[in-house]
Amino acid sequence: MAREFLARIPDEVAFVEVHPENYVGRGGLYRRNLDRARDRYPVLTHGLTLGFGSTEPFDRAFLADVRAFLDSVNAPWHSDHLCFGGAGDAFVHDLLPIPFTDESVKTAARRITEMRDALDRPVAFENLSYYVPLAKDPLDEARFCVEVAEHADCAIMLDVNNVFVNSRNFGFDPRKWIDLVPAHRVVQMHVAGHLVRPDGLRIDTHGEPVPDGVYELLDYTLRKLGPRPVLLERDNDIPSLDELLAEVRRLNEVYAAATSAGVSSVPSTTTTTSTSTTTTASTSSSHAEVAK
Amino acid sequence: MIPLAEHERLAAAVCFSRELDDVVVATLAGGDALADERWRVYREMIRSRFRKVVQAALPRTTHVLGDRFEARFAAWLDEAPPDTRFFREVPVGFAHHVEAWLASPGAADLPAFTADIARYEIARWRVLAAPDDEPAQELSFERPPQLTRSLALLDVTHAVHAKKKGPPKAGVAHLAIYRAPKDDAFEAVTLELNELARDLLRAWSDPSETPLAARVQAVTQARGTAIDERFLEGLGTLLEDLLRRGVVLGSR
Repeated sequence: MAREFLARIPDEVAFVEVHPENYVGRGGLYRRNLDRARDRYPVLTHGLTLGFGSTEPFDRAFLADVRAFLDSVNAPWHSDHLCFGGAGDAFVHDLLPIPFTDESVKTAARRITEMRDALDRPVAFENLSYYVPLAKDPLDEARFCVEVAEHADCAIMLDVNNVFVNSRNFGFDPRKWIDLVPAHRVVQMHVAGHLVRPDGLRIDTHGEPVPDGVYELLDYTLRKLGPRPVLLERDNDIPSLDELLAEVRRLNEVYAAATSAGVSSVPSTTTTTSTSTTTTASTSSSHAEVAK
Repeated sequence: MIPLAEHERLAAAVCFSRELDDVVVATLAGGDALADERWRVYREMIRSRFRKVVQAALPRTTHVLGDRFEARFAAWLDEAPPDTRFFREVPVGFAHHVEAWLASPGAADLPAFTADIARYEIARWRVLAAPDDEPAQELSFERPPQLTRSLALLDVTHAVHAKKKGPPKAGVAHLAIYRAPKDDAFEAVTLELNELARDLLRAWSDPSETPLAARVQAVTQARGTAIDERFLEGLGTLLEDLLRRGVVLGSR
């Protein structure tokens, strides 16, 4: 996929997003593909292992590596997840949810501030897909996210698919969730497909086409919050590039329709290299993404 | 509500424990039946992802372990869960765990080449992701040599690198594994070295500032090898080959 993508450099794609964990300390094919992508596309960065909900101290050496990587790709901001990814020295390599408590708010705000200082650029957190009920009112998650953003005075990397998945798993109106989000905080968005298990539980796999419901929610979100870079995530069961680009074109149509009719809003905490359409095409393994 | 650190500790225990403790899950779930069920979903998802990457990196090891793979996999997660943030490095921990376990009486019935296969597979996996090389200066015997950062040197007691079908035959081999371009990608290339070449490459891999000439002399002295015309001719051929392959890059 990566080879074909980089050979074609499709016009549908406006930027790419990569995980620093896939490149720090790594050479060979990944690095070469990234260098080729950088020649043509702006690069955004999105972390996997520096979750803001963790009570473990940051690995300062790794933060320094991340900063060097972000500098090398001229990343305008960096995002990671409002979650934790292990305990002690152990990494689960997944995004585990944290309770919506004051302790969690303070922990996340402290880590976001610390990361922002270490990376010397704006930091955003991504709202999570989670499967364990954490509150009687599922909209508490949105309120929790807003509180973290206010405490940390940071940006939000709004994952529209995650809001949709949670709304189906916990039975709420995802538009009400979006309505609680302060527009000026949102710096970027993600959309993706997800798995619906036989028991009805939806899992954020990034392994399916983006469903209509997510496009509809994206349309609503863009009209409500204004234009932002939107990334199409696809990490698993990656189809042919032509199929993926067809999805990108549909995303671009949704984007164009929503933003031409919607409010124009510039993120206050960032300088963005791409404010037009957005998309992603995954490259290879389960944690590598190339987008536009 | 349990403190955040305890929440994280319990969640990790749910994911990594060999036998899932219902009390731990219930505590994490706060007595909520749906939460209890969903934490078990996390456990299965996380273990499935680890299983896939281990099997992708170590297909032959997995095959040799056969129906004992699952027990080893569970023991590894329980006893030494992944301590790396780099997903690509996760199988390294499993390979080390298997290698250590193979020395135990419980593994006595497994083929003697199993450890070599695990070490060989993980070496090939790692060289593909090794950091890129810094530019080198022209090779000089008066300066320390610069080798590719993707080089792995491995001594095995079975021919696990042979492309023949069937069980690897017994016999000591000294291997040099490195990353090389192939078409529009890269491949892990394996060279079989004689003992002298192995010793030289080991000496050249040392990060010290010792010049190349002194390293060659140290190896020949340790081995009792005369630096004669035949040796110098062989050394020249070896260096020429390794420079052409990009194993020796030049001097630092």
